[in-house]
Amino acid sequence: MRKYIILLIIIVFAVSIMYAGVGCKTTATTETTLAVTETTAAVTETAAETTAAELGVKPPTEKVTLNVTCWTFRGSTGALKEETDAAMAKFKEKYPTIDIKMTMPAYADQDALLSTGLMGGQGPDVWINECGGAINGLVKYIDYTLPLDSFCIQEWGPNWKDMVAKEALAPIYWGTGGTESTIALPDYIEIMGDSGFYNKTYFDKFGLTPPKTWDELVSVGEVLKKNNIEPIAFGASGQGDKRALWEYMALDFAGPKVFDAINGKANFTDPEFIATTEEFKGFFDNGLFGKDPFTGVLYMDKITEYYQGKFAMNFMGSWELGVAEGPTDYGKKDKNMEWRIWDLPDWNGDGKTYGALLAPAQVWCINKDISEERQRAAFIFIKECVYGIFATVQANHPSWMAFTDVPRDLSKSGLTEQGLKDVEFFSNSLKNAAGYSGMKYTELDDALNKGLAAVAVGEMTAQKAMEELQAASESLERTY
Amino acid sequence: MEENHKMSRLRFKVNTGYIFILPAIILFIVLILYPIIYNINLSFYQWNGASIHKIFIGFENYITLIKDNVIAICLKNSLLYILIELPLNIILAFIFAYLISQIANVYRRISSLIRTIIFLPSIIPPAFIGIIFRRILEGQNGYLNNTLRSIGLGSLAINWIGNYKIAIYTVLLVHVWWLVGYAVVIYLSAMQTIPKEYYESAEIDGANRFRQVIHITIPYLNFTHFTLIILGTITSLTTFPLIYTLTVGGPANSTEFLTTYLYSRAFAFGKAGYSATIALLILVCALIITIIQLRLYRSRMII
Repeated sequence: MRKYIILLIIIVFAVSIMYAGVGCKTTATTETTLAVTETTAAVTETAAETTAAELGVKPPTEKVTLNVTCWTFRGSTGALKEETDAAMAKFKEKYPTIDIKMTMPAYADQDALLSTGLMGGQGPDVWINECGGAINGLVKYIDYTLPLDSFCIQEWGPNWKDMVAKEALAPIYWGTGGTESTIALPDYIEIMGDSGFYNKTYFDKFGLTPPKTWDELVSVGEVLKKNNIEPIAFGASGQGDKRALWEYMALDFAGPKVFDAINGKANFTDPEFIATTEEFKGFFDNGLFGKDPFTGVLYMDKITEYYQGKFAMNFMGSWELGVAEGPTDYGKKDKNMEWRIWDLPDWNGDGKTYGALLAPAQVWCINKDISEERQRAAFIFIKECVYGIFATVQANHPSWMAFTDVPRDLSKSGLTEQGLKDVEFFSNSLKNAAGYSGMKYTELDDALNKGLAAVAVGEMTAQKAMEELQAASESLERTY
Repeated sequence: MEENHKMSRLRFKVNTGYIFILPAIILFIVLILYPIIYNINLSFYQWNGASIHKIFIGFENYITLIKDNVIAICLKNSLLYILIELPLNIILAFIFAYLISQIANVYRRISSLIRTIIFLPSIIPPAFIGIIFRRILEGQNGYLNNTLRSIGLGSLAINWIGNYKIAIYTVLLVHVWWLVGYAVVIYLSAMQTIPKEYYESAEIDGANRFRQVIHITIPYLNFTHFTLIILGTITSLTTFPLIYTLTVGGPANSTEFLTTYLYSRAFAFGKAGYSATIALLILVCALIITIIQLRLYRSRMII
């Protein structure tokens, strides 16, 4: 009897600790929405009051050391590092009261650091995050993130959003309950969906031209396979890799309808999406991805092999131009090879194209639980990252910044003459963007990836995969 | 009065005993009981793992768990682990242990060397094993397939971890390689407790080596077999690092286990509430296995 009493006391004690301790609040997301709405109202008032003469966020008067967490900052080697260091020196000269203490964890470790730090009240002042298809990373920390609208208006005026590619800004608002509060600023953006890269050395060797139609792609693939070169680098064990390719193709088959379907205004079971999925399966049926598209190897490992000459084509986007022509962190490139832009095929052969997809590769966030002085210092730092000293460093190598008129000097980019011409390709893609990249909702992302994996290995038909995706879409509560 | 004095001394001894076990109780509450109860509570919420807000959703996570076909795949893979990896591991470990014990009678140093070599994989962190074997078994350019092709056996160069039909069996074999050494050491220790007189008597009675193994060694080690079976069964539910680094649960979820699935839901999808539900499922399965073990042990079916 005594044993049972003691056991009961222990359980009651444990339950009491739990209820006294972490998170049994049942407050719904309406609280966050209300807080963000109040901020938006304050922002509107600030916008009305700001005049040109008052533009510019003032740096702190006393010394502030900002804690910045990011898995990468511009470049770790070579010319990009030198320019980054020079830019940092310029920053310190311009803002003597702001010191930057940068912590650069490995990409895979950043989330754990942020999660434990922010929840424990010891988070960084500024951090970098992913966005677009990896919207979870941004939405997860929304409760800790400072809305930046008032700072943006103070710095650039009420029409500051006109300075930013709108498709790059859209994903930032996904997790804010539709309030359009700017919880992060986009850094450089990825332009993709209408291009890939191909190994020019192989194509010249085997007398091939970059395929412009599906049939040409299959023929090129046959020639490459006969010569023991795998056609396309595609490692799809990562979550977003299958979805990204499907998305590019869906845009070609369905046009802007793909965004309607994501937003619940069209059905994924419509013929265009089923046709997209069947074409997606065609890659595997025709052996275009080699023998093992779904190994445990991640996409980036495949890209490393691509640069070593084991594959002939890939689906990477604008960020690849500098890599194709210059050094890479993906491992050793084969120095005897050349890579060029591949204008992706017209997948459904109807002669229509819809442009590229944009995604902010990285966004900058500020911790809302820091003092007002630190918030100003933090904003000044990220302002220089997206539209100032550090932005130019990124733009020079070359990247496309979300703030579209960041000045650029490509003389130090290491690009060849052809490469400099290729810059125009992506600049035009940016102007003709069709929309944002990435499934807004993780439930859709999950259903699509599962379905595509099953379709690729023949365990599910394209029709069934789209039915599952449509079921996921219908079960969603779309709050943004 | 003497009776009262005795009772109060007894009460003092008992109360002092509780004080001595108090630190262990506190550790148990903080490190085991509290996380379990917190996890049960979390399974009724929708939470992304970082937000300060949680949304109570009742049994929705449990309904999702029942409808989730990947959970069925995970349970199937755990069953395959019990039906394939476990017997293979135990049989191989027994054979190795027996051979080593026989060699040790004559060549002590050689048997020590063999034992060390067999045991080495067990001390390598499983995450490293996953990374190493991924390089070895990769279909296109893995070391194994490159070697097979270079010696004219290209037809055997299959897609070990990329083919969704065979990837799970590859994973199980890698587990055997990793864990067989651990079982060998356990068997070796147990074999040393078998009285030599049993073998001598059997030899006198005309039993050959094979019959001695069947009628003496194997039955005597019943408890060891049973312990390894239980440990292996628990491992089938809790294994994670090796699988995650080897196949990430792919291709097409074919090597997904409850632990890898829990991890992806929690950290890639921000569904901490659903992950808590999966964790509960693991706990319940492990509890059932443990209860069965205790019942069997108490019924003296295992000596």
